[in-house]
Amino acid sequence: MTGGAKEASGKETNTEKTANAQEGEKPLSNKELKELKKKEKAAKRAASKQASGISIEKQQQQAAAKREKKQQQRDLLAAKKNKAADPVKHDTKKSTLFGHLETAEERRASLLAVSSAITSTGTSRITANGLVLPLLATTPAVAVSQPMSASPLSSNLSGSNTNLAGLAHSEDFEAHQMLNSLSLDESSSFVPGISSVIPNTMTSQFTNQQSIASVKELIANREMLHPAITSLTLDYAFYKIIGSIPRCIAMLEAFQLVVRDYKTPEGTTLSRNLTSYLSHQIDFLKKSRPLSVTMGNAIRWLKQEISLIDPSTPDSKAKKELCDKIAQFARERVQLADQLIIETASQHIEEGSTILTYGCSKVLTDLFLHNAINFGKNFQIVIVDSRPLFEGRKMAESLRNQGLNVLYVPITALGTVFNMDIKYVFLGAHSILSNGFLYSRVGTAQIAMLASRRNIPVLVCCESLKFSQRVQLDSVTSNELADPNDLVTIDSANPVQRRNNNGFLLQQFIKEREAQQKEVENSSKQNNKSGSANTNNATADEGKNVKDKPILAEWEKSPNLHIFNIMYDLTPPDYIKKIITEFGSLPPSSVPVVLREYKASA
Amino acid sequence: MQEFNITQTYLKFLEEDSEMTMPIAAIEALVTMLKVKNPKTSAEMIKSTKLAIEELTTSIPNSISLRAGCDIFMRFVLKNTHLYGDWENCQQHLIENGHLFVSRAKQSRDRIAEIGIDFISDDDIILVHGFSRAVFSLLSHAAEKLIRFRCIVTESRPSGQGLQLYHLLKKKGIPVTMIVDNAVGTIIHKVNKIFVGAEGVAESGGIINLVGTYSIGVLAKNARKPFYVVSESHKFVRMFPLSSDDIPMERDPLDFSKNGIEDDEEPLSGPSVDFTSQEYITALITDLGGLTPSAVSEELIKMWYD
Amino acid sequence: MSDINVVIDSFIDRLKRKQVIGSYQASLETLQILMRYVSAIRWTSTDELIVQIKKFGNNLEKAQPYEYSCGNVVRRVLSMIRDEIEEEQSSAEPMISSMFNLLQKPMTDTKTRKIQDNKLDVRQTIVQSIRDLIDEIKNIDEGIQQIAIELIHDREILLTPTPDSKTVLRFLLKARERNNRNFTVLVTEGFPNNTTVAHEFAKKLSEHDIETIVIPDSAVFALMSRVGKVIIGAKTVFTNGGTISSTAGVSSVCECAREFKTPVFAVAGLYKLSPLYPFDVEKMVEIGGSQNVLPTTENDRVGTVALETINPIADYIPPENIDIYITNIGGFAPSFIYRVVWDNYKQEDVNLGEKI
Repeated sequence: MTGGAKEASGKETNTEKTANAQEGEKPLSNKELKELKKKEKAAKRAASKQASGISIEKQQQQAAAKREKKQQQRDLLAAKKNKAADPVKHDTKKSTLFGHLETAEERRASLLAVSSAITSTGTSRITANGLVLPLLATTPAVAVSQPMSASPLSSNLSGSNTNLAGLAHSEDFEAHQMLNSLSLDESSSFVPGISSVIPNTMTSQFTNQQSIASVKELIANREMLHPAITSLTLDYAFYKIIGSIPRCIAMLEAFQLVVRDYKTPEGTTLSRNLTSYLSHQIDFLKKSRPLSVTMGNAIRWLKQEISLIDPSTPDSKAKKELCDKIAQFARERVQLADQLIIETASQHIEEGSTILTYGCSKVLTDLFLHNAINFGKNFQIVIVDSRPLFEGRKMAESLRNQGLNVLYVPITALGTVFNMDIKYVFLGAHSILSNGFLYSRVGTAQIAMLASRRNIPVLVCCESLKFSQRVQLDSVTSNELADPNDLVTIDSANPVQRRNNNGFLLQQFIKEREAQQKEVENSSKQNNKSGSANTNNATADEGKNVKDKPILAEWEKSPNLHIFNIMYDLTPPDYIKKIITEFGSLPPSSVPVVLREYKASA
Repeated sequence: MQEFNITQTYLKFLEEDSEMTMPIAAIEALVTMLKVKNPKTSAEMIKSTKLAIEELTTSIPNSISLRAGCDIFMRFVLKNTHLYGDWENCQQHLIENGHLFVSRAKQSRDRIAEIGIDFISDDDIILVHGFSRAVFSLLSHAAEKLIRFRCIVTESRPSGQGLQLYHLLKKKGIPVTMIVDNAVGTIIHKVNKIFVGAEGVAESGGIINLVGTYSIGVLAKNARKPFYVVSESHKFVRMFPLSSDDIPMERDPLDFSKNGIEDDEEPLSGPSVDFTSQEYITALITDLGGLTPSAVSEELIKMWYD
Repeated sequence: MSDINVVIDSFIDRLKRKQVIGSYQASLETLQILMRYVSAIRWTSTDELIVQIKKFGNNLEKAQPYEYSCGNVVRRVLSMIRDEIEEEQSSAEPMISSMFNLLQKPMTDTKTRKIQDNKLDVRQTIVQSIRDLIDEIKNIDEGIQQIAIELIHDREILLTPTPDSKTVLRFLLKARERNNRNFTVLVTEGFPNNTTVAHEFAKKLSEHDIETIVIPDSAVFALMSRVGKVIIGAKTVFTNGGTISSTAGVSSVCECAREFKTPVFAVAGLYKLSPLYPFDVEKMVEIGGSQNVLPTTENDRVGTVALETINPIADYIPPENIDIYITNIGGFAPSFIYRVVWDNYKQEDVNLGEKI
């Protein structure tokens, strides 16, 4: 391990690109290292082309990277003492059940690798106090105005950093000292580079060759990223914007900004270059979470629109047209579609009936409000909700605030709830696949199954924008893994809020360091049960941190313990009575028909 | 009294007492037979019982229910003669206590009503098919206990039993409505539970009952509604039909030979009873308690192999 | 006499406050108190004794109607007493089926039983049988494990929605230890009431070298196709083969399993069998407070009306969604549970509150 790192540090000519790759290599096995070295050579060659234009910033970054490497070597040595089997652990950590899926850590690691590299450019000054980095707030990304999102970078990406600063100054002084103590020998050891911001567990998640390559590429082209996209990516990553329609709308709005700010480079035309420019933005977006089907459909449409632009059109006019088209697309495919869906679905909301729904769907919220307020119908809505996202609460609140009769239950209460006289089950969708399966928030399938077994009609309200060409047979083969740590804490608070309040990343970081330190202190205490109780007591004075030190707090360390937190599941078409779209009500079997018929418009 | 005719005795019993069920009438007829024939040896008693049973089951077209009574009687006789050797005592006892059996049978209905009352709760809508004394006594008992429930009665064509039950329930002050048999599928979702009687309960726990029961059972299972059979335990019969085809029928249920040339010919053919297998039955409410269908088999096994 | 009443009252109070946790604890304590009670009370005839014990059982049931095991063990003891009495009187026709009642000779012995001289002897037998029962309850795990371990194969994926069941936990640990089979256990969280227990359960399993995966309750359907067997711990098993679990959400898990044709097996000590029939499921499922479902801040928010919510803390699983019950005396199909129940209880004891 250290040999690989030494070798790498010897290569002075490397750009930060390879340095970054180095970050990924650290926890790899020797076998993989050899493979990587080959790759590295190729990358070196490519890098030497760029090397001619190395800026001062980049040189600084290199220096920073080097320092990081040293830091990492230290960490690794310390880690090695305690757990020699570290790289092995990560191999076995993946459960056989869902090992094929990209974990949230991997995603976050690559996202953070990229975003930290982006935000640190130009500001990679080393401050006296290591991690305290107020100048992050002045990074170019944040300096640009953010019209579409109320909370720009400072609150999420650099959120970890600013929180860090705040914490370091006040409540969490202990942790701060601890952090400093880790970097004794160099006064300026904490740079906003990668290893200092990303906890080790994350960087060590770079076991996937592909993800390394894509991270490298993204960092290489970081100048091309539009600030609106970086901000949006982080909103996605931190689940600030959730739901396939809101995500799609947010993306379209961001694209409008991107198109507006776009300048065609010389020697090419808008219609040719904009597409690849957008692709870059999309690649970055993908780092937050996999694209939703709606986003994919919208992107496909947009690319087609771009390709249709006459090259002779002046840029300004083309850009304006494109922006208008995007706005029109959003209005037609979402807003108007929703209106039509609500019109059709309203017939099923009967006076005095009870309707069950799950999670939070925009169109369903509107449907219920419309029926209660505009039609004055009197009905009860049972909102079923689940951990860890608690989306249903949002819906329950907004309906409750309008005076609707709402019953809010956890998904475990279904057995009891279905004893009530429920007339219909209304469900939202993330996507409907062309084999008629409903791909929606995890838990939907269970509800649809229980309802159909009780002969309660299951109705799905869904814009045709959500129809997908894809086919899939079961939920595990292709899915999105959310952060397992969301399930560690046992309280009914929303993890999104939790994270925002407490500086989630920082906590993880601190936790990790703390654990490492503890391991140094007494590695024997790790295994016995009282150990967990002790840590609970020990952290008691850290206030909010106590909540984050639940029973499973150290699950990553146990090779046998996994947490499975998927985002979606698949509902077989047998459970679905009808799908209400803007084209009217359809049986699930008609999804491919719609896809064929309306492909042109999609 | 010279020419004793078991069938006529049996029919007479049924006619005289409208409260009497077929198995009890059969037992009574057999008791009377013993009284008249007054056999001198155990072998004679068994032989004459066997003959009488055979005569009775062959002469009555719908013999399932009475067969249950005959089974019990036969078993009782056999057991007492073989096992205890006191056939005389047994005969004596049977002859002396004829009326007791009848009253016990009626008591068992009361017992069913007591046990079954827990199966009915306020606000229930109960679908009833056919007319069964056990079901009626349960429903009227529940009404007396001030449980507020409503009944849907099927017309139960062609027997017209529905109308009979409709009037009886009406008299009891139970809110009731009658539907045509074909409407069951339409209203099944509004129903909370289904009660039917049984002519005979087969070994598997399935029941033989008025035609239409099977269709309702299937509909009930599809709609996941509880389907309860209310029946006295003396209707358990050692038969194991696999489907309605296995039930002895008076004639071929599907008669294609009538070509409809004559106008006066009754065009309606088809079976009068059907078999509902145990998978459609939630529970049997009997005088032995609420039983799962599998418990029926146990009772029968106990009777024959003890 | 007054001494024992104090003990009983304090136990009843603890039941009411739900300080007796788990049916294992409740049944053992009930038996211990019953043992002292039997030693303390006086009776002139066994009928009177039965009445007194019934009353005792009825009081416990009234104190905590959702803790069925108290009533169950009291009924078991009653049944033992009745057997004892019957044996002594050597009743005439013990083997004739109840169906035969129709043709039987009229019962003649309805007169009250004779006062027994050997009261001390009866007391001794009862105390001894209670002791035996305590032993039985303490040793249920062994019986269950012997049968249940044979139901798991190597590399199987199991799912359990009842991490609160000690029997399930001990069984899984034993299975790992004894025949060294590798298997994976999926544990549902049982939010909101059981999540802590679930996590502890998962942790304990993983510490014993069992691959454990914690899954949210919503992911059950998604994963069911991968699951080999579902294991549930029963809190109470009714005569119809249905069961009450001590966690909400189990019924939907079992229904998922049924939908995927995944076998569900329930583990239950014999003392969890109840002679009751679940007529009204809604009355048998306990509903808890809403504080766990919604964070208090959101509930108390000024200006908005508090959200209505239901928080069941138990669940009823109908017999058709369970494939087999593993008890300490063997494995039974749900349709056969009624028989096991009537082997251990007497029909006349079903309703403890009723007069004889």
